[in-house]
Amino acid sequence: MEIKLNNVSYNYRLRNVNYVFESGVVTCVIGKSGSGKSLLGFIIVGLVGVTSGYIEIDGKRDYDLKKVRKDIGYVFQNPMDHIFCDTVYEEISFGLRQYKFKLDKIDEQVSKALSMVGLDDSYLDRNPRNLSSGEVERVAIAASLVLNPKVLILDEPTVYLDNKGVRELNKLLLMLRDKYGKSIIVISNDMDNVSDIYDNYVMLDKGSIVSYGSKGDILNNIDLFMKYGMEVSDIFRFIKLCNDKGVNIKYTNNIMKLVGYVMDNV
Amino acid sequence: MRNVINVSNVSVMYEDKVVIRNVSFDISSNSFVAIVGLNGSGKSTLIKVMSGLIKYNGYININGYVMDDININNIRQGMAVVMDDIESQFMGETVFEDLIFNMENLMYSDKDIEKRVEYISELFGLKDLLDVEVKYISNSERQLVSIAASLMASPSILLLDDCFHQLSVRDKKRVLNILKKYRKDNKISIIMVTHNMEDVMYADRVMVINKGEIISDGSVISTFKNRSLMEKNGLKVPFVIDLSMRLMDRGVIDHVYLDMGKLVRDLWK
Repeated sequence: MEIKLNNVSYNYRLRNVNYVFESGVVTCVIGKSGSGKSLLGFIIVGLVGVTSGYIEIDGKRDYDLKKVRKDIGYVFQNPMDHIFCDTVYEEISFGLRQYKFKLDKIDEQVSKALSMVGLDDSYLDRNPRNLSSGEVERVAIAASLVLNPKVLILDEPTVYLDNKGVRELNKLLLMLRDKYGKSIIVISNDMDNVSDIYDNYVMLDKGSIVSYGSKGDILNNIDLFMKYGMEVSDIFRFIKLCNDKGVNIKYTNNIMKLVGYVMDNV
Repeated sequence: MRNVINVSNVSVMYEDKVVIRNVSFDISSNSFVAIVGLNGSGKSTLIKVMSGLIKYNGYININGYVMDDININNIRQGMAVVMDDIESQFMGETVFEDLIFNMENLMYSDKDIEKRVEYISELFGLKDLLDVEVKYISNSERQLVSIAASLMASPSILLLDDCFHQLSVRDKKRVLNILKKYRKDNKISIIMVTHNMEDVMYADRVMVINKGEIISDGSVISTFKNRSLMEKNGLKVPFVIDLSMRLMDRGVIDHVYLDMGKLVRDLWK
């Protein structure tokens, strides 16, 4: 499902954004806090309307909002914002019940969604409020996946996850892309995570696009990201400090390569 | 140094599941302890137990008071807790009202409150926000305010439960530096739950928790140097320590660095 933004603006917070979110790839929307990333996500899924410009979904301008909400899943930054039921089962099945799925189909879809996010059926009767923040994040993702959306938008999904949780999330997102052909949009200022999973990236600053690119381009634009206040990973910050000191080290996110470069220059 | 927290053979169950399993440790005054572990390991539950929010089996003594229904108010007066859910922690309409809430309830004088607001708002850079309504400040500012507010009534123990999510890396480092200095100046004890290993570098002791049990308890560097412990528990060694250890293995440097800038300067003097 391709999503095309045509001169999209929202007051002063988003300005003339033109971008195509390609189908079947992972696109990371990056930018520092306040750049308009989350707002862009809200606009795509129809939670907020535009003040000028328009959005085309699969080439159509007048896409039914109810269909949008089924075809585009959204996972909020704070997973607790998703939680309003007393059990994980009720939480995940809520969307299916709204769309009047049959009961046996609901049970099957809920179990499938749960296993996709690395949880098992023992979680079904548990109260989401008693789960760890990482587990709640996974339940929130499962609740979005259960309707089989074509696009999944995740707003800062790694904030509440530990290292293992981030790796598992990345594995899940890449599996959704490769096995199920889903389009994934990750809104993030976590450069560490972004550089591991992106196919495309688009960077916002003060509501405008200031940079965009595809696989491999991030390593060529670290200085630009720092200029726009992006929080780059420590390995990139270290390399910049070395470069500033006149030691020419190529940007890499592989620590073994970096050790080699350091040894070549010491 | 005297112990301010004594936890002895403490266990917690949620919905028939053992969440904390027979845990024992002491925390002395003037210490900064990080508690780390994977999601679901029991970190936050431990904070809730120490703050008297949930039931447990075992023995807990805080600042000389045994934790029970009779002493809980005395314990809470000397302790502050900052949870990860910032929405639930705001009591005042404006930042100023939120900062003074605790002290007002504890019947501090207006003069003492004013003096303390001056000090804490200066320390955390909140002076310009004092008259702003909480609903208009950003999530990052809210988190800053909730941490600042926790110190207003001068607690001797500060419990932080994964409460830096909304802060930018820059702001988080600034807050951690403030807390580190505040701890030394005021001799308080800080217990910080985090899943971010970079935060741990501000602490002087680390407890690793796995499936409700404390499996390691030691200094920051010795914990990070234990690669097998870190890998088994899915914990990431902070970059500068990881790089230092790899360079030490190759004889390029002779000790572990915590400061990236210093490492760069010493590599290329």
